[in-house]
Amino acid sequence: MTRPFVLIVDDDEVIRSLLRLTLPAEGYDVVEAEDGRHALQLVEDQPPALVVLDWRMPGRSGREVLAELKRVHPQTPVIVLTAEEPLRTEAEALALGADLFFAKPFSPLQLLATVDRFLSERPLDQRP
Amino acid sequence: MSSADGIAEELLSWLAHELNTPIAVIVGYAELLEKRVEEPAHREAAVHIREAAQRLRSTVDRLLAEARAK
Repeated sequence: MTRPFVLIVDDDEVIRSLLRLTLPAEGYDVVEAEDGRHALQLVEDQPPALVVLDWRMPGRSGREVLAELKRVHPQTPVIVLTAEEPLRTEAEALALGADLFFAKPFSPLQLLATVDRFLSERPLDQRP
Repeated sequence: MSSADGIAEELLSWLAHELNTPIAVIVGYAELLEKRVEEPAHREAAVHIREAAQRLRSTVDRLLAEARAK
């Protein structure tokens, strides 16, 4: 079993960099995927502690990745990020099992607090 | 929804994504700088950057809402 990891999925390298700077990686690894296909490969063997997932990506969309993630790892919290019209996207993401939703632009500090909260709610033997 | 409406909606979704993503980068980095730099003048600069980007975001939201209404 490798260290717990938080998975960031976004095709925009600068957003991934912002999220990498935001998350302190204390007690867990921060792993990045630049598209949905890569993200699903990374979670094949071990469920992530948490996923931060962009909604609009080329290739496999956030919608497809969320549906597949929740099928194979239903307990993994998924935070969806979107830069599109939030109301409609939020309803669809929540219906597919997303745990929380942030519209871009988002506050990195609020996102960090949310990630910390989700990770602290994990069972004791799974906490980073 | 007609085919033309669907195309218009997809175009607006794409536009929202293309405009809001760089705004998210500006707001996000400015907020991190605001909280993490120690020099007051640098912190004040970060506040100005963040506030200007948030104004821009409000303008984008208004323009997109008006476009959708039409």
